[in-house]
Amino acid sequence: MEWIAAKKGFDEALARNGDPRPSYDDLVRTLEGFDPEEIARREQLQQVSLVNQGITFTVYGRDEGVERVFPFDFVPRVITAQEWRGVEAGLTQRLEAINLFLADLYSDQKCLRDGVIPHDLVFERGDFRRELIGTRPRHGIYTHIVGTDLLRGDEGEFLVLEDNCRCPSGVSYVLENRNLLSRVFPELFSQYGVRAVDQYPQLLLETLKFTAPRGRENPTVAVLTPGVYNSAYFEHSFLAREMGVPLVEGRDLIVEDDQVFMRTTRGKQRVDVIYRRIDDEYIDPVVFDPSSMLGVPGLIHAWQAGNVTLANAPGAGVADDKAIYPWVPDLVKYYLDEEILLPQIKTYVGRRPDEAKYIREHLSELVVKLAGGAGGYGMLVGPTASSSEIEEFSKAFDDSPEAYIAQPLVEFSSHPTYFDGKFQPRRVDLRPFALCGDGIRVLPGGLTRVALEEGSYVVNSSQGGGSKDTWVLAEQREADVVEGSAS
Amino acid sequence: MRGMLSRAAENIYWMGRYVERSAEICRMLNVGEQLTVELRGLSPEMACQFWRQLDEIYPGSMAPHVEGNNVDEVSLSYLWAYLVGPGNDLSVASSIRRARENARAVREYLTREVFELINQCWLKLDVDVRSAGQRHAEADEVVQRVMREVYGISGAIDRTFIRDEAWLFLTMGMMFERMYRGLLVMQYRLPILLENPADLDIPLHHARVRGVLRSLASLENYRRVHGADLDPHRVARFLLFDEHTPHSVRVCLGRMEQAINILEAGTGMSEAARLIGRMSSRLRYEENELMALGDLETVCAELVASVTEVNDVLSHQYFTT
Repeated sequence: MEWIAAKKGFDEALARNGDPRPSYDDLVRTLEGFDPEEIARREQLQQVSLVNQGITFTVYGRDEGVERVFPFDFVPRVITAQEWRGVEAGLTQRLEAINLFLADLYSDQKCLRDGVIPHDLVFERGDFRRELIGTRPRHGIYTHIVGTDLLRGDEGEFLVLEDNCRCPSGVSYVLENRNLLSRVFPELFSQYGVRAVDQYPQLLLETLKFTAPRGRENPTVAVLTPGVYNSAYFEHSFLAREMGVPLVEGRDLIVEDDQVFMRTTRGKQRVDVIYRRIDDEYIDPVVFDPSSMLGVPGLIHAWQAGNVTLANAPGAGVADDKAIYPWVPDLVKYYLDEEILLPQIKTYVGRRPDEAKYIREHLSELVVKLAGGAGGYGMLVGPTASSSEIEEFSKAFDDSPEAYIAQPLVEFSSHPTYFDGKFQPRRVDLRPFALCGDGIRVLPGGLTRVALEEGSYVVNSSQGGGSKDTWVLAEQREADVVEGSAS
Repeated sequence: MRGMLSRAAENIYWMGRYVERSAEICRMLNVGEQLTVELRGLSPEMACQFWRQLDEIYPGSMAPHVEGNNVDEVSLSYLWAYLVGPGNDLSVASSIRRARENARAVREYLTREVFELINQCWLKLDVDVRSAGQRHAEADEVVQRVMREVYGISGAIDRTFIRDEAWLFLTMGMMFERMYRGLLVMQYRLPILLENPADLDIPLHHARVRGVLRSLASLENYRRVHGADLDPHRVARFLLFDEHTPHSVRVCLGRMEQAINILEAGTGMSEAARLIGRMSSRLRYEENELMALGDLETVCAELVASVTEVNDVLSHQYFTT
């Protein structure tokens, strides 16, 4: 079987000479033992399994509201215990600083007064909710669940691409991918001590209960979804099922006397903690978008009265705004008096005239994104774009340069991915998930998204990306690998 | 018993109704195919009548009307219309699609097995919808397959579902649909068979009585109780009042009564429980009085009106709080 190493960027599995890296040695050997027919049979099995289980996401745009299976590549990504220690420490530090930043921003705003971050930059952000200033959520936690997108640079170092502090999705695929791989390719696990991920629902429930309003000893937790037509509905349903809590829609909830109730067959039942998967704009038509049919009138007021916990808290989205991102290292220094552990990518901000000029002149070299965008929409990957695409994009950029940020194209890492009987390099990112409750806990692993098209940098599921199982090795395995390499 | 979300209770009730409905339609189509074969050479009019009565048993369906008594044309048209017919909200495909939509909305209440079986059933039917052919043999194959799959779904429900409130609403949905459609079958198919058999061709007559029993999965059960004597009066009483056959109105209502009694244990009697209880008592203790109300069509029509009221009251009481 042929293994093709990446020509550009860091190859996570293969060294420059084409030999497997130590942590991949056993995996490559095991995969070599399969013939293409057997792999095809098992891939078919995994595809059928995904379809039958309805493990899907909904795509908008080209095919309105079509359910699609998230493509899964069976070659797992391996992260050593040592590498993971760095990621874990970096994410913990980042989440701690972000929560301190949000608590400050919605109270004393010391960081603005001290000039750590420009106040006009913050106030311009649509996700900064002035109406929430003065509200302090339980334990001061604003963002309870965070998914941070990481890339690996030329030397394999992890770099932070962006944070997702509102409703990060993808964790259900982390659990289902592990479940699927262990059933369809059990042999792959035989030589590895892979850290488990299936504790996540329990950790999430503990986190949510920890933040329940004071005096609610046995809190009722619910997951709030926009409904079955939402692109991440599978995940909402999955998490509710795994935690054993109700999955509610806005129309299931009512607010009376600043308390939230769900409509049940036995009348109204109080709800204490809501893991909301609805964006701020739509969550309460009284405070935000009045035309929203998805939200719950009065919910924000109930939250401000301290009678219900919303996770993540409204207003938390300002922290993951792409325009705020360049200042995160300064925020870490300011709040924790520490240097940032996980490095970031050099970022140009369109609102600064000199940087806007630089972006305009270097569109063909940069990745330019809408500061408030997500899902790969409104984005230009300059080095791979055609001249007409660049020209068209430059018009949009000139209309509102302040809406954009730009970064140099990072030749991020590739990972062997199986196509046509060969293991071919495809670019991957990583979205680990961290929970902030009684301490910060990072799920060992995360969602590895893979750009399935050869040469592509776009890993988003909505634009042709797939996923892989992500293995974080236990400490013991690490010792074995080192010992094996030495001998 | 803890309360459950009203919306989820409604979804699961309707999931039960749609799963049951798909089985009922499949069985009806299967019987129709067999009757067509039996009656084609003897009485094509009767065979066509069987198919056309589907419009009454499934009122509001969008199945196209076919003129004339060309039995092959009529049967093929109805068969496809009620199997995968585009635009027919009362087809097997539509029922399974809606069962799946409801299942998706309450997936956190379902076991993995139940959801997967419903999902698989729809995914295969979706292919059939898009590639619907025009032959009896193909339709037969799909009907047989869906029947097996729906029995699989029912088995998974029985073997894997926790007996909680969701289960009770699911049971009520399934029993309601079975009872309601059964009554409509009796209302439209049995009266003509109650006419003096001496005026009719006996083999034809028996074929149609058997068809009614088989449509309601009760032929073998009837024979075990009453032997081979296919007396339509006895068949009508069996389908209405028998206390053991799973498709009798009495058994369906009894299971609904059990479910609502568990649901409301410890609370006062609700309007829905009162209605179900009253109807159930009539079927248990007032068999002769009920049958004396008029001809069978009248009796069935009255029972249909009563069960429709049960559905409305259940919806109002539990789903629109």
